[in-house]
Amino acid sequence: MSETYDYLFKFLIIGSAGSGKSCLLHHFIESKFKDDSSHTIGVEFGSRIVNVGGKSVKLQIWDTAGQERFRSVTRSYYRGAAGALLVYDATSRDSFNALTNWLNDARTLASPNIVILLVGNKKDLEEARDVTFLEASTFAQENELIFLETSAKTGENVEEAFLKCSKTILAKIETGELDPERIGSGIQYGGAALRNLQTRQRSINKPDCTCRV
Amino acid sequence: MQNSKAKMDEFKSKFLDILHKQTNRQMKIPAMGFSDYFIQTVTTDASASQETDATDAAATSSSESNAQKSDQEILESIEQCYYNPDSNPQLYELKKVLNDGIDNELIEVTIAQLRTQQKVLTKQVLQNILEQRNACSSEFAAINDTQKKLEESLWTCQKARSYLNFARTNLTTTSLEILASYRKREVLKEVLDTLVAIKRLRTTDVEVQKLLADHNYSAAIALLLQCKSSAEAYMQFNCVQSLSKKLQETMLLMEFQLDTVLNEMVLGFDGRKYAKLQEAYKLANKSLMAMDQLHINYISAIHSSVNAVLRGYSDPGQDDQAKPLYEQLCEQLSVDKLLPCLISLCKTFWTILASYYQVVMWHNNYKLYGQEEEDSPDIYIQQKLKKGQSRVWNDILTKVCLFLQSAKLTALKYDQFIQVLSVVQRLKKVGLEFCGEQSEKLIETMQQQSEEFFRRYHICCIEEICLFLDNESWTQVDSFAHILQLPEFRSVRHTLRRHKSPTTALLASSNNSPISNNNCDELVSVHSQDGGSSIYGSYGYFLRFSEKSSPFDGGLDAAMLEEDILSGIVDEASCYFSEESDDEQKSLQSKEFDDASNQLLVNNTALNVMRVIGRYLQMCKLLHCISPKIVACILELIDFYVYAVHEIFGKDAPVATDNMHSPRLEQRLRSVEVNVLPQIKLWPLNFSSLANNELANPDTLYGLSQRIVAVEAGRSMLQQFNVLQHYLNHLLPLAERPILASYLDYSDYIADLAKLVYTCVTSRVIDLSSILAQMAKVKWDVNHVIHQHSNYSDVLNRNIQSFAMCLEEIAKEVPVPSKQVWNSMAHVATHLLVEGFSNVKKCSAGGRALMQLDFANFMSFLELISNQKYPQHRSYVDVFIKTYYFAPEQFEQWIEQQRTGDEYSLKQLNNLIHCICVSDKRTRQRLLQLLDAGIQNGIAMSTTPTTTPQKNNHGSVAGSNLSSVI
Repeated sequence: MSETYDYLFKFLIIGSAGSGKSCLLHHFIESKFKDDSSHTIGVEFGSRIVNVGGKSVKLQIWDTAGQERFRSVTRSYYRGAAGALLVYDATSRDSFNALTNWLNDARTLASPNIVILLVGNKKDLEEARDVTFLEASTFAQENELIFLETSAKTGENVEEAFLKCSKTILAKIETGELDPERIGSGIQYGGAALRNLQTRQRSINKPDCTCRV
Repeated sequence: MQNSKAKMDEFKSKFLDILHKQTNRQMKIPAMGFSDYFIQTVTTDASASQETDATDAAATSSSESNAQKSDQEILESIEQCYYNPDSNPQLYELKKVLNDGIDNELIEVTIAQLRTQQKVLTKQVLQNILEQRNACSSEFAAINDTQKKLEESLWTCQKARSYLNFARTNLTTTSLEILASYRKREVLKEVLDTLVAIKRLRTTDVEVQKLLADHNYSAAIALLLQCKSSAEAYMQFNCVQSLSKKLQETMLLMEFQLDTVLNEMVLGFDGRKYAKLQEAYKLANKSLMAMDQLHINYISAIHSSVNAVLRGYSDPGQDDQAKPLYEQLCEQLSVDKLLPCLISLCKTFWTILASYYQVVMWHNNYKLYGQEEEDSPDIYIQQKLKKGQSRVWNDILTKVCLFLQSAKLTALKYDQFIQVLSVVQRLKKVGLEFCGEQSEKLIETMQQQSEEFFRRYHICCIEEICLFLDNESWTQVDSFAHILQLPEFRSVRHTLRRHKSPTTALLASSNNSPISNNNCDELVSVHSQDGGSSIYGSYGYFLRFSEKSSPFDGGLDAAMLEEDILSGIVDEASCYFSEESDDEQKSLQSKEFDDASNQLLVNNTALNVMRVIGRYLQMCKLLHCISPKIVACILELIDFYVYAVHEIFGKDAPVATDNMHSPRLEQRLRSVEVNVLPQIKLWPLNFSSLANNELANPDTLYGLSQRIVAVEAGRSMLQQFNVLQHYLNHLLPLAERPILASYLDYSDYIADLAKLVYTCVTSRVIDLSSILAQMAKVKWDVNHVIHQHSNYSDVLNRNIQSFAMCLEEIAKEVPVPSKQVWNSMAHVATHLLVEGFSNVKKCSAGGRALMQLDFANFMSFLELISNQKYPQHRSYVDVFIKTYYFAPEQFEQWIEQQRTGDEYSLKQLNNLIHCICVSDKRTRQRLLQLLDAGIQNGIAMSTTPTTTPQKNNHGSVAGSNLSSVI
């Protein structure tokens, strides 16, 4: 792992079983659909470096099992996550109805500032659609979530989902809303970002000089 | 009327002309025959002759009567000179007469003689004429008759000439026209023949073009050769010369076309075309040259196609450079294009190999030359093809090896590298089927690349495990019962089931395998044997795939990988596997999980370690050479997990635990520390999920549930690893199997770890320093046996009870391995008691009895509450107490035994000697010397700081406690 990056973001993929969480991760990392998909046992892991707004960001992505019997294990991974993809299956009303529970877990177990993206997967199965875009969009607005519909099969919006979440996190860092140095923020500095931080600290000292004058 | 006059005049003039012409011709005719002049002359002569004859007749009659003799004499007297035509009689007579001068008499006599002679002679002549008169008359009559006939002939001739002239007038022109026409016809016939021949030649050109378009090369060559000889016969014609030149060019063009089509065979073999090609080359006497050309085509196709494939995958910007070498193209290839490029290369090579294979098959089935001579060209062709197989394959092998060496394979992801391995394995099998080559060079290259990749990948896997450790919540993952639930082990499911319960015969055959252990691909030779029996196993590529498809199509997904892996199984009778349906797989899964009905206690990190092991096994299957290295790394993964658990959960005990480390556990932990940790950048970890306070929280028994999950997951992992043992032994060469066996022989590996980890909890549950202090206050030199146990025993029992209650709460979250946990508790408690008893300075028999009473009270409580028996722990304390009752010789023997044992510390034995031999100084000194001798002999016990109960130094007291191990 000799890669260099500015930031490292810890990401979660959560949602009901069978909604396509592992396929989303697989497509994002391998750029192809994972055909022989089986239920995830426990938690799996993937990582990739992306370029967001001129910054090199390494995404550390934890793919959790959606089945109820793994709930206690996966909850422990919420702590310290900077972003989360909240995935439901557009062809499954049950997975959409369960979103409230997943969202509550995320809001309570992870940091309050976690950036959550609502992902409606299996967009390509239009004939079997069970949740309309408008309905999901309304849910996202009510709960202050970013919303995208994706297809892990065709790859539509898969990359955009992760990039959009990363951009939002990066924007919050720049506005000061998110403090990377706070424990549990899910953000770590890479080698390049440390130098930027030191430069910024020196620039902060300048107003003091102005006040003295 | 004027017109008719004009016509009449014209007719007259014409007639006169004709008459004039006839007149002229008639006048000319005598020149050719009897002219009038000649006829008149003849007539005149005849008349003159008649007159002369008459005169002569009269003269003769008169002279006969005079003197007959004198005529005779006179005739004889005539001189001979008068008969000589050349003489001159006048001059002769003059000379004769004038010889004697002028003599008039002589002159008169001579004149008279001459006159007489003349008369006689004339008379003689006339007489002769009269004698011949009849003859002359008859002759004259004949002449007249002849003249008549001649006149008739002349008339006939004139008439004939007239007729002939008429015929000539009528027929000459016609005859000439006929002759001219005939001549013209002959000339035209000749021209026509020539034109027909030329036309045929031109038609031949068209036909040749048509035959070429139909790929009927032999007929085209035959036709060309035939027309070539025809053209030579007509070379004097310019058009035929140019046509012949064109035919020559057509022949060259056709040969070029033959070569072009022959070149097309390299990438797409067509049996019908090839048959025609071979016939054509045979007619042209170029079969052997064609075979050489074909091989050149194959070799150059390999070289040009690899460059084309690589250039297709290169960056467009690099095209500005001069043409780079093949190696440079490979080096410049970006990582994400490596695998597609390799697959494209192999597909291209497959096209070439399939074509060559079909050429070989064609020549095996058909013979170009019928005779079975020793030097038949067919034999040469067979030899050429046999050598060509190796040549073609080695060229392909060289290209692939260069690609694998030049490209940056180590930068690939795992899935991609596995696919590269699959491609290479399949390519090797193709080569084995193609020409029987084992492709050692390819395997060596791939082995080097695999070792390099695997070295880096192994570090990445360990770092990934570090990430899991860092984020681990040490919570149990439910519903995990068997390693085959993981997708990574899908490809080895069948083999694991077979190897799970191997038969004795299989073990025997495996051990006595005749396969050479030096063969790094031992499965391949077995594979060859199987391949011979069944061509529809994973071999038979050339029969199963056509040129439209290849063994490298389809992206080499899991099914294909499974086929490759399953085909290598030794004990399979048939190498052919059909893909199972999902239902069968599900039923097999449920059946498999029924075999292991007990649910295993695992955490996420252990799960991930097993996933990594599954991926390693896939790599083992695809490249057997590095199986020993991979298996060694699998062992390293397990050891690393154990090391991490030890680092997190096994080092926070309040007492020294050095002597609790078993030598083998110590060895493995040190090995990880030396070999693995330096390569990991992430180490040491933060373990952010634990946040330290969890392990120091007495309410959770210092994180006992987390510790249990950590240790028991290791146990489950090792148990599942044992399921793989026979399978791994199968993968390893015979010489390497003891390594795995010795690793698995250490069956107490996890138990030793558990002892350490649980002691960190139990040693904090018991209030060690307080109990030691209370034991020190007990009066042990009493004179009578007390019936009531000491107070410290109650304190100890309360600690035990509190532990048991907390344990019940923890058991609700996670299954508690009661045996191990309570054993740890018993260990700590009994060692605490021994430590306390050893600190007693003065003790009486009653005091010893009190010790037994206290211990019995504790032990009965412990066994009651834990529902277990602890014979070893009981014996440990009992023996120590009862040494007080030993006879001196017996005690001495016991001390002698302890020199070689490690149950009790040196300090404890020292104190015991002082306590028992308080009144016998000589015995005490001897026993102490025994212990010192033991130290000098190298059996050194661990030195602990000396302390007294009065000091109340908790650290020292805790340090000296538990310094011995069971």
